[in-house]
Amino acid sequence: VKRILDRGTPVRVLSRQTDQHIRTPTYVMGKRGLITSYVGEFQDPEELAYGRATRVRHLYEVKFSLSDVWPEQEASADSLQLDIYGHWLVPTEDAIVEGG
Amino acid sequence: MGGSHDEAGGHPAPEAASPMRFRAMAMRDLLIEKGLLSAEDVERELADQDARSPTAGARLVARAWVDDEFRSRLLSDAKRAAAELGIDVSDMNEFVVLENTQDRQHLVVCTLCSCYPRPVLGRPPDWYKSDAYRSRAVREPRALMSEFGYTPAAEAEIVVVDSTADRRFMVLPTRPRGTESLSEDQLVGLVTRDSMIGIRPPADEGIAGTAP
Repeated sequence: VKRILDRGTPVRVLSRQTDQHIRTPTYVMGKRGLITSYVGEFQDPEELAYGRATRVRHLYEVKFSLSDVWPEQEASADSLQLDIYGHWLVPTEDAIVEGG
Repeated sequence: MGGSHDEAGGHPAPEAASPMRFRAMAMRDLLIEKGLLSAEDVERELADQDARSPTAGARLVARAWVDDEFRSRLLSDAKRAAAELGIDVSDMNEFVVLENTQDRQHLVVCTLCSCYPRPVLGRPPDWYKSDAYRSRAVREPRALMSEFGYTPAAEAEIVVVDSTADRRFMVLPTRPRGTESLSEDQLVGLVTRDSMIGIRPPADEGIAGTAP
């Protein structure tokens, strides 16, 4: 089990092409956000969906700026909050700025 | 059923035939045939689903408006707070209540399917499950809110909460103005389903207000 990411850690959501059941929406893949809290340990929904004996995953609450997720839109101070499993997140040193 | 991802179940007496209904009915019949469920289990689940309504959520909201200590408990441990009022939320893995303020307002959506806090809000409205709502909520929440007749203050931050995993979310709206003299029971009548999804607040009393 990987280490737990601290609140405030900048992260990037991995992009993975798959036709399997996942709980990470494509619209946040590749986007940067901030860990806002650690939700806890849950059975991996990607295995649960196929009735397999499941692994436990860390689940995090991640906040994204609406403008970071939709850079082509008019700038906005609004935000998005999603629960994302740890194996989809990588800590990033990059500052959270607008853009790719 | 206790699964974390909601999907409409089959109904024994469909009014309109649709591919989804036929699929649900076939699933139901197979599950019964294989002995995994009984017809009574299906009937009981449907009755349980039908018995749920947004009144449970409205009771939580009204109590939070009149009792600050309850409000704190609701925000820190919503499952326990619901149990205090005799509301059964055991179907939800995790239940979180999002507090709206003048500065921060929440909008709940499930872009991946139709996850919804059914034990406290009942069945979701059709628009909540529509592709249009699910795709637009995360992209242009203010435009969506304005189509529901609500224009949030420009200074307020809108936080769109996408129910992607094991938590279900309900919004605690701000208490409407002009309701200071109302009793808790009267307040329950003011709390709308839409305000607990976050798409538009309950009306201020005396403005668009209808006395309970």
